[in-house]
Amino acid sequence: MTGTPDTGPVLSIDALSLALPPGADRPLAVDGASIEVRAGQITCIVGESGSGKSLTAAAIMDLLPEAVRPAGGAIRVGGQDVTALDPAGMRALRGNRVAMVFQEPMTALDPSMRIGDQIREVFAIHRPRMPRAEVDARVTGLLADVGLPRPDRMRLAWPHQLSGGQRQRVVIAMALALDPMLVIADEPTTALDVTTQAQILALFRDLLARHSGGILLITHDFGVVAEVADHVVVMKDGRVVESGPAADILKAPSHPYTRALIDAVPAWRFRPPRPEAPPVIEIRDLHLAYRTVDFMGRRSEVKALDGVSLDLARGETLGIVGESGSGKSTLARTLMAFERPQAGQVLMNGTDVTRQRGAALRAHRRRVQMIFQDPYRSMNPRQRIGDLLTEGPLHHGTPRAEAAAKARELMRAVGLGEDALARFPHEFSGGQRQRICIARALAMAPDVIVADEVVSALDVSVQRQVLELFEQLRAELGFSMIFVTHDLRVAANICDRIAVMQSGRIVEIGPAEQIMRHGTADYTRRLVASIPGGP
Amino acid sequence: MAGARVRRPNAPMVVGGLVMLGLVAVSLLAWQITGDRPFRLAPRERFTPPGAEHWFGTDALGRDLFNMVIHGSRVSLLVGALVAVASAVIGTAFGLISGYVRALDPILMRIADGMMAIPGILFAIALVALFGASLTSLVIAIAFSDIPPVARLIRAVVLGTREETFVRAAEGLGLPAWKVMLRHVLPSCVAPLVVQMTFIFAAAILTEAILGFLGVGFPPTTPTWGNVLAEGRGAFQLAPWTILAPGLFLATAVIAVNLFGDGLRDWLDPHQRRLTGARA
Repeated sequence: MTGTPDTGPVLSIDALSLALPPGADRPLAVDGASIEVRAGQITCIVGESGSGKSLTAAAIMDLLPEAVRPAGGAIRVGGQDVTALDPAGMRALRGNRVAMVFQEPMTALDPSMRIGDQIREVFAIHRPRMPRAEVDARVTGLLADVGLPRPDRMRLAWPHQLSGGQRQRVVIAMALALDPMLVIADEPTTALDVTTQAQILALFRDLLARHSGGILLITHDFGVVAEVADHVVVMKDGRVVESGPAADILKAPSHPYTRALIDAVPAWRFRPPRPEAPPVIEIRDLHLAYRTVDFMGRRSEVKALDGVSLDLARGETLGIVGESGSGKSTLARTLMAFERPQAGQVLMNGTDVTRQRGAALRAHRRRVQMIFQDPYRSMNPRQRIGDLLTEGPLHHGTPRAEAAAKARELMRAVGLGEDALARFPHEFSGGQRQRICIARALAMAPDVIVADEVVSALDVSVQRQVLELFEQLRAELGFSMIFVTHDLRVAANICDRIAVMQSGRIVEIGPAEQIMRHGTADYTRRLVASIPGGP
Repeated sequence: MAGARVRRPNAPMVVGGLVMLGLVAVSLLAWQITGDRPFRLAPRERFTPPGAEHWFGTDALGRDLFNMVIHGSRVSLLVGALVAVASAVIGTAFGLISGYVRALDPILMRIADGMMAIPGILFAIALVALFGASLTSLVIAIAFSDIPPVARLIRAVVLGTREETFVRAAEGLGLPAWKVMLRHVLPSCVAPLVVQMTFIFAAAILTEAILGFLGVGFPPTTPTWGNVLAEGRGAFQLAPWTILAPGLFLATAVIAVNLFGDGLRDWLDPHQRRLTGARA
């Protein structure tokens, strides 16, 4: 929070309305939204998917999808109305006075261009007469500005040689190249690991001190808001429901929706310790390495699992947390025998499943069910929900009538009506789909559920509902669960014990509260410290 | 989005489809249209230009070209349909196995490479020369070179689909490979396959005509578009209508089928289906 003297707003959106094509679920995507961004400040637009927050940002740069039309209101950048600009004027505005940082750093850079050249291109377009030496100096300066190591060498790197966080820094450097008065960042940290996210957010705040512009940051995450925002705008269904200084809104939200959003962030709440129970799965010293050969014929090995051992007790929920590349998803897939480890055992009720094939393997999969991250892709789009729920049980010999009765019962259990059974996956929202996926897993009456990032793709309020559903079903049915997540808040909320993974190893394992509050490993503490909004 | 499930077919699809239907109807009703003796020789009327008596004129033997072309469509469309079905069935089996059973993939794809290395027309000529021209031998000869492209296409779709989470999920339910393949992978192949079949259908009609034109298709006594064209070749400077009628029908059929295939591809494309959703 910087105390900049109050100059005129760099961006003022006044009663902006955007119309959706006829037949959409509502006539106006954005309905009379007014938003201001001041120099030296970060304004956050918060909202869930469908709230119109990204369209509002796209309207500033005239990057709206074809079907969406402006339907009133004014957008002024530095006092100039940009809704009336011709294409040439808009091109001069883009990159020059307004710049954009996108969500996905993996795809925002041209993979066939060195990063120095990509930044130089911005100057070539908007400052064609700038001498080459000066451009080079500016590029190096920008790379140093965004905290990339050895900027003179970094200029020559290709995008694929950089990590996600480094790429996002490059994208930010490009956005800052011409010192724009406004930077629009659309979910700039959503695709990043939590420690990287904390660094990028810190970078945004740091940059405000050195650059003169303001930042409009779009996010769904109140943790991010708490971390960086000076000013908050809460949007719901295209309308601004509340706006004001960040401190006020976070402490005393006046609108019920804002309160619901803030409450939906999983609370720091830990479960009471469980009584000792016999293990249902014992994992013994798993090793799994991916071998790759590059174009020079050099072999390299990435150890996804490097001596992992743990037990899952009957009825327990064990969280596996870690950043991308830590091996947590590989571990989940190994439990399903989707991957075969090079060494080690997965003992399920005493038998090793890692070497099983054919009928024995299929019998194992019946008792361990996996729920996947992306509810949009984990259902066959051509299959009705009823078929989806009964396919597994029917194959394993359940009579049709019994399987159908079970499917109806499960639909009620996950909070959907029986009429859902006759419908297709595309007729449901993300949260509903994830409920159906949970029902599909439960239809097999498994001993163990492996949940791989099951709430990561969902909005916070939906996330909360799904977590509550898990809670309730577990109390009723008593299955054991391996819960893989990168989100420590979620893990703390639902898990009895947590295992922290880094580079294929378990660095720490213990009861959730102990890991979160008194973690002993450095890495654990770093992870906990970098949660936006803090514990 | 729920309301957008039944979509209106697009214009190329409707036009192509209607023309095709018309051609099929004509070929089915060939005897009713042309009467009992369609190929009556009438040397005195040889090379009559198109007119009220003979709509498309007559050929060197005075046979009515309209009747010959109408009857020719029976053979041509039948060959096209059989080739499309045969190559689709065999190519799909090939492609499914190749894409799903990774161990067999290199072997099957090298076989496909080998088949693609043989020029289709040459192979067909050789086969017909060996076994004589019959419907069976011609369909086999033409379908042979269409199998590898279908196998390639299906393999590519399978390779993409097998990585989908829902296929993983089906495996996770403990379903055996063949069930996963038939119930979850094969349905994704249907749309590209149907489109590919329409193109094969069009190409097969053309190939059959070419073989007839080269004199290795059906015996000259069987009226097919290719045979009629071949016979008109010697006389077309004198009587251009001898090649005009079969040529027009051939071109119409091929264009109609291709139009239909193009339209069908757009219509079945799931990405186009979701164009209208609201984004925010």
